[in-house]
Amino acid sequence: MEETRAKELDRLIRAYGDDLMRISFVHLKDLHLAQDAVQDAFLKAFRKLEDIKEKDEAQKKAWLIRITINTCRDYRRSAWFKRVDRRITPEELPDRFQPDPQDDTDILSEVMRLPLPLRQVILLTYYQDMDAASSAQTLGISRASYYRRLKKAHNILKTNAERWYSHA
Amino acid sequence: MHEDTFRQALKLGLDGVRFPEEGRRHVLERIKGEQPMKKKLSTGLILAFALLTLALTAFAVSQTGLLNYLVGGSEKASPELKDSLQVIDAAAEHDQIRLSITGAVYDGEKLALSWEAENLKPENPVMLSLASVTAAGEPVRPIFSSLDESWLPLLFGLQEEGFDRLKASGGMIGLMPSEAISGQMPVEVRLIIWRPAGPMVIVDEGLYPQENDDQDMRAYRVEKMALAEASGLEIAPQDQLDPGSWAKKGYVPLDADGSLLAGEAFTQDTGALSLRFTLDADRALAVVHSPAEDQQEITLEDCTVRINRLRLTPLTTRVDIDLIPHDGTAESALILQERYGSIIPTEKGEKLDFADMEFEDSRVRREISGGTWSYHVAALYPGLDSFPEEVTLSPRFSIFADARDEGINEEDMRLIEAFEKALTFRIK
Repeated sequence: MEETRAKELDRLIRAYGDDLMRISFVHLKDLHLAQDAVQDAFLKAFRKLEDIKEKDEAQKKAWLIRITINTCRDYRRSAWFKRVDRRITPEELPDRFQPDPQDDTDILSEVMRLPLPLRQVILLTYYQDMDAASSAQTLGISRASYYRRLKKAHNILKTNAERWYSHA
Repeated sequence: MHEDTFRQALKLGLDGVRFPEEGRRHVLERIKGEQPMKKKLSTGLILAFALLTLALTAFAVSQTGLLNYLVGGSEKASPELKDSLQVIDAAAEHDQIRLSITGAVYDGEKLALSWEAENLKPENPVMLSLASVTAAGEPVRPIFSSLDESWLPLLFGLQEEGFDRLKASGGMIGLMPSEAISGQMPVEVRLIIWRPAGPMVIVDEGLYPQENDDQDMRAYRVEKMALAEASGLEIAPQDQLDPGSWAKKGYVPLDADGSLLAGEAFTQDTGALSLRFTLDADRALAVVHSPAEDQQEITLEDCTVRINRLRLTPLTTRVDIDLIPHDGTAESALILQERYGSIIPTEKGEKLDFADMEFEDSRVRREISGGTWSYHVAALYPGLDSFPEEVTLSPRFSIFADARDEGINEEDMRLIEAFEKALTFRIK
């Protein structure tokens, strides 16, 4: 029984570890902290694996994302995290350091600069390809809130990154 | 930009972020009870601890100011830092909030400011955010700021003895946008004052015990609940944890960290508090240390290293170089990137602590002229307490260079050693 659970956890790590790591990184803006959060999330998931054994694969993934987001929220609440201004990402550099305009990290930098609630909807929508209902459920918000946040994120990205749109 | 292009770009941008094999192993070992989870002390965490220490030190002394913010007290400041400090006496008031700027240091690369903020009507809590800092009309980009969605009076977080909840003191370190400015430099600081539109309520499931909580987690939740209660705000009971429902009733729901859970419930009507003052930019530039002029380009076996910038000041240690492969191709630049990874300076034979790095841009290959590519490295650290006569650039593993997990081959090691030996700069 225990071995079966361990095997299932290993499968979930291999299947979704990278996705969860990226979600965690977008939340915490720190690779090592993101790794810690994903490890903690998988440990929490392990304790509740019985709860999801009847669920389909998409539901399992959404469940793992939810646990990861909650773990990241806990990390963000701690006092030391608040002391650091994480609005600047390693990729966000002054003009004379700006990477190649076609460098994809540039777009990521713009996304990372969004307020967290807006980053979340962008990530779930465009990275995880989740629909509105799933995204809203995963984030624990209403569908109306989801659309409001998505629209707000679009507007900010449009304003900040006119050059991308001009490439369209 | 088309949606699909954006989607693709986002995916490519995050492609380098992966859950490593060691992470998988740690989780699997932990569930078997074989060994405790290893926690990495992250760059951000170390920085945060350092800042927290500085902040607590600052609270403990009666005098607050920029030296407290930067190094934890004037007795710990280097003579160069003290020399470049400018005492500022500027204050402004708006909507019952008073902001004072007490000190500034400008070193041509960064601007550091210290401030005090006071809520003159503490019964009405406000949230303060740093809206912008401009110097000579151009925006300064904050690296660290202690004013970021901060409640005043303090509602959440540390409850240190003797700490004044009504006054906040702290500082900011920001990157200057352009080349060094000389003469008189006008600076403007703008804060946004957010006032909640209704009574606030803490809605946070994290305050309540969960099934399978271990002892540490239970203690954590108890501590978190105590801090939430100390805020004096209403706390949503465990069976009413839907922020939307509270918002519909006219409340402003927050989590136990003070983060807004329903953005539309806030207003920004009280506007921004703006404060202007002038700095003597020439004063700071006198303490810049940089390599001798005859060391701007060094030829190695596999590349030419071009020094764009290597500067040491009390606020900044900055490296900005291009490694240009002899054939100038993008492919060769990629090989250099894999070989050298991060590049950090060594001071007096001691490597600067990687954890102190404020940012690094070492993943970028760039085309420096028609058809010629380089591997570009730019790294920024805090300033040094004392200034060495020599600085050596040393390669380090790049966190994104997956190939390095397998170790360094002999040929790369030989070139890396030659790199370190050759790139030692005399400082003037």
